[in-house]
Amino acid sequence: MKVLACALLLCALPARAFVRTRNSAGVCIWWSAHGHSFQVDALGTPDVTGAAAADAVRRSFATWSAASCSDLAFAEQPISTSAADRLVGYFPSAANHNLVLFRTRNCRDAVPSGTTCTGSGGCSNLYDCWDQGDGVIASTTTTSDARSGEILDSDIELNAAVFRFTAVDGLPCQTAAETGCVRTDVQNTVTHEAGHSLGLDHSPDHPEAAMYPTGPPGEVTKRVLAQDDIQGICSIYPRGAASMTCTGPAAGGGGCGCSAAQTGPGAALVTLLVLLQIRRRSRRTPQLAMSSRTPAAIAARSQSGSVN
Amino acid sequence: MLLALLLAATVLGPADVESLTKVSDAVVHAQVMRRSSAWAPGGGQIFTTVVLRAIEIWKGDPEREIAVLVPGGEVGELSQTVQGAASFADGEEVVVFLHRRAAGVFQVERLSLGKFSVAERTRRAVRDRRLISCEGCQPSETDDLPLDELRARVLSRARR
Repeated sequence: MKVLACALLLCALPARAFVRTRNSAGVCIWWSAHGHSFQVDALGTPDVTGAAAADAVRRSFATWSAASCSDLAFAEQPISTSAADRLVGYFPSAANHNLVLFRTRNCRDAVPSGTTCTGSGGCSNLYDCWDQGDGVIASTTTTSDARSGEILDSDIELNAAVFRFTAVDGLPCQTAAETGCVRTDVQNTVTHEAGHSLGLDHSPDHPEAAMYPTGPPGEVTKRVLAQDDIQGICSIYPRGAASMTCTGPAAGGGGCGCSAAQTGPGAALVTLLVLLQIRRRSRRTPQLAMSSRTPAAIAARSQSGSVN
Repeated sequence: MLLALLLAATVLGPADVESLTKVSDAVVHAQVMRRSSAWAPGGGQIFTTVVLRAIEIWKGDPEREIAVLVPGGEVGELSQTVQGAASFADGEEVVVFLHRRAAGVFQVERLSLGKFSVAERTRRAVRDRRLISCEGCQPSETDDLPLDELRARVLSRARR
């Protein structure tokens, strides 16, 4: 009864909390395992030298896995060096990898005029180029079972054909010639996209969240999770319990819209208890993410691997 | 097995009406006539072709019947949802900001930021940016305005 009362209290919170992504069938998407493997493509982007871009990607996943109320883990597969493997999407009869890759050519330049894919789609895989338009910075393609919502594959593409990515700590760039400053930050972008690949939608009422939909050029604040992100991820992947599904109608936001469990009668109760635990933690450290968004704090937190 | 493909995207702003008009090859007030989905050549991704019939062309010179290619869709048992991309319904009245891909084939500029849905009763044009991350978008960018105002602003910018 006490738990039920607390759950009702959580659902009555005035601000909309995290939102889960739903597929075309209206069910939330989720990984059965807590975390997934990922693979960085070796080509990277010419704007970021050495291993800095791959390291930034690793830090992005590490940020999510550091949420202590969950037990997410992201195993890195060996860096992909095969040009033939630079394929986004799901291939039912093949081995699928959760790829992170930079597209360094624009399909507008790479694809011969009159080619079929310009009318039917698929140029990005066929010609290894960016095909989402010049104004799109990054995209995550996640394939899931429409009925259950279980995610089968998730790939992140970054538009290095148009945008100059950086992987440094610093202030936003003010001029085109400036160096050592932040333009489009790899870690900021991939942390946000990785949240989508885990099944989180945007948090429209939480500007401090990694899943907040907008940000200024040179932004790095999404490198770090806010309490709303942590609540979201821990509601889907509670430590020590099965991943949570939801099949009911979409709510205005928050975890309460996705409360149905698919793994047994006790799972819903587990979720309520986890949400309650998160709520208690958030009361103890209400400004944890907000107050830790300086570059120095971000670097320190990245090294310690703790966000919660 | 039913599959759903979801795509979350980050786009570059600004995405106000004037900025979108400037970068678009065509801006069209139209109605959705039909949709069809198919696997892309090479597999992996599903794309949907949305056929629009122009009510009024506000910029550019496309044909009255326009094909718009959007990622995601349904093929047989397979359902693919594309997060962040514009979605269309049969019969829907829309205003779309388009980038030309091939002869007679367009894509929506800046994913769902390039599509307004027109409400039949209120005659207001509304766009949904919930599934879009935007760097450089401004809080003042309106997502809900009268259709007449949208038309006037597009035409004004297109004439420059």
